[in-house]
Order: sequence, then C-alpha cells, then structure tokens
Amino acid sequence: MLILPIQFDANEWFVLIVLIFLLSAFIFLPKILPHSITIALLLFFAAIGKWTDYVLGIKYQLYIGIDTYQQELFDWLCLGVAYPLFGYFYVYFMMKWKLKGVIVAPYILVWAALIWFLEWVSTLFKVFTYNEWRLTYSFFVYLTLLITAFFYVKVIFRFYSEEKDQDRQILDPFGKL
Amino acid sequence: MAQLKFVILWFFVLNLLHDAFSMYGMNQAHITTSENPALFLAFLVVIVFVLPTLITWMLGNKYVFFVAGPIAIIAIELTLQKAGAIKHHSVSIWDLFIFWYFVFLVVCTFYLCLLQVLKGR
Repeated sequence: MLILPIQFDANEWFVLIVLIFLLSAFIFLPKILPHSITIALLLFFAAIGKWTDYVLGIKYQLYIGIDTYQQELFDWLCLGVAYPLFGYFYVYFMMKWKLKGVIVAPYILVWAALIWFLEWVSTLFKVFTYNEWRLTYSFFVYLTLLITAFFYVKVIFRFYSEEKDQDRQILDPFGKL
Repeated sequence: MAQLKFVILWFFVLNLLHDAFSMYGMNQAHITTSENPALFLAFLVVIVFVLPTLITWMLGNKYVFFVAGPIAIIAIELTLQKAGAIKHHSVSIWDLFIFWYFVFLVVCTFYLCLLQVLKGR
C-alpha cells in the first residue's frame, strides 16, 4: 500500500508542478512515436528509475527521496510518471530532429546536464536530501542511463521495423502487389 | 511472442515487481532483504533478471502461466529465503499464493490491453 506524505509541503508541490508541466507537454505535443515504442520507452525509464532508487536510496540510504527512506505516493509519482516522461522527451526530440552520428554525443551531454540541473533545483525543494550521495555522482549516473537508453532505443526500433516488415509480408506475400 | 511485445512485457513485469516488493512488501514490513552484499546481489539478480524473464516467457502458454507459474515463483522465493537473501515476516504460504496469483492476473490483464492498443498502432 502506498504511504501518504507526512506533510504536504514544498517537495510535494514541486513534484505536482513538474508533473503537470510534463503531462501537458506529453498530451499537447504532436505524437511522432508509434504506440508500442512509446510504451516500451515509458516502461524502460520507469523500471530503471525505480530499481536504481530502491538500491541507492532505500537499501543503502545514500539519500532521502521526498520525506522518508520508504517509497511513498509522491516517490511513485516521481519514479513512475515524471522519470519516464523525461525519458520519453529525450527520445522524442532525438527522433524529431533526426539526430544521428556524432551529433548524438553532445545531445546526450546536454540532456544529462539538463536533468542534473533539475535535480539540483529539486534538492532546493527537498525532493532529495543527500546523506553520502553527491550531486556530481548523479551526473555520471544520468550520463550512463542516457547512453544505455540510446542503445535501447536502437534495439526497440529494430524490433519494430522487423515486425512491420513481417506484417507487410503477410499482407503482400509476393512483395509487389 | 514478437520481440517488441516481449520487451514491453518484460519491463512491465520489472516495474510491477518493484511496486510489489518495495512499495507493498517492504513498506508493510512483510519482507526484508539481507545485509550481506553477496546475498543482496543474488536477490537483485533474481528479481531484476530471472523473475521478469520467467514470467514473460510463461505468458506464451496459459496453462504454464496460471498453473505452474505461481508455484515456480514461490519455489524461487522460498529458495531465496532458505539461502538467507530475503526474509518473510508474518506471511504464510497461502498469502504468497494469493499475492502471486494477483500479480499474474495483473500481468495477464496488461497483456490483453497491450494487444488491443497495438492493434491500432
């Protein structure tokens, strides 16, 4: 059962405002990614965020997320909704601007810096309270995650194209009709 | 099962296992993990790689999924407990059955919804 916030204060308001902004962008921006790719991306970023947070924040207590070491409702909203949407927009703009080759490297660096900056802002609102963790470590965690995500995107797009090709072959077995 | 569908289901199960273990089991103090790093790593490997792969693979056959599935998962969980990687607190074997059948039901419902969504891709 999800634990409710001990006190509804600055960190909960910060999470709510970020969520409203992200969800509005998700709803109103034109959809350029197929449904299956969108679902695969959202689930990937949610799973990575949740398990990383569990190991670092809960098991080893390197930082406090929101109010306690336990995962409460607003932790879930962060990990299950906000993180996946950030991940979605990372891929969304990569696809929208058709980034390929060397240009992807600075794009990943800019995104890592952007998320890192947002984490710094969130610490001001006590969304994260560090014990043994340092903000510098987060940058390298984000960088690793975004590079992993880049390869994950390549894999799922390959699967998607292969499945579309198979569908086409079933509809058009001779390839010319 | 198509590769992309397998990936989606795999990550869905991984999310669900996190929510079930961390947000339910551990928040309610029904389960604790070992302080020994090697045993904790074993727990992580099982829950992050073995269980999602096994559950997603079993979805391919409804009899395996609903009959053998929960029994296999409970056997793995009890093995982890025997090895000292996890410890259950005030949880009977019947509670585990109910819990895992519920998890399997959620996975199955998600799979059916996913098929509907992907029809219109």
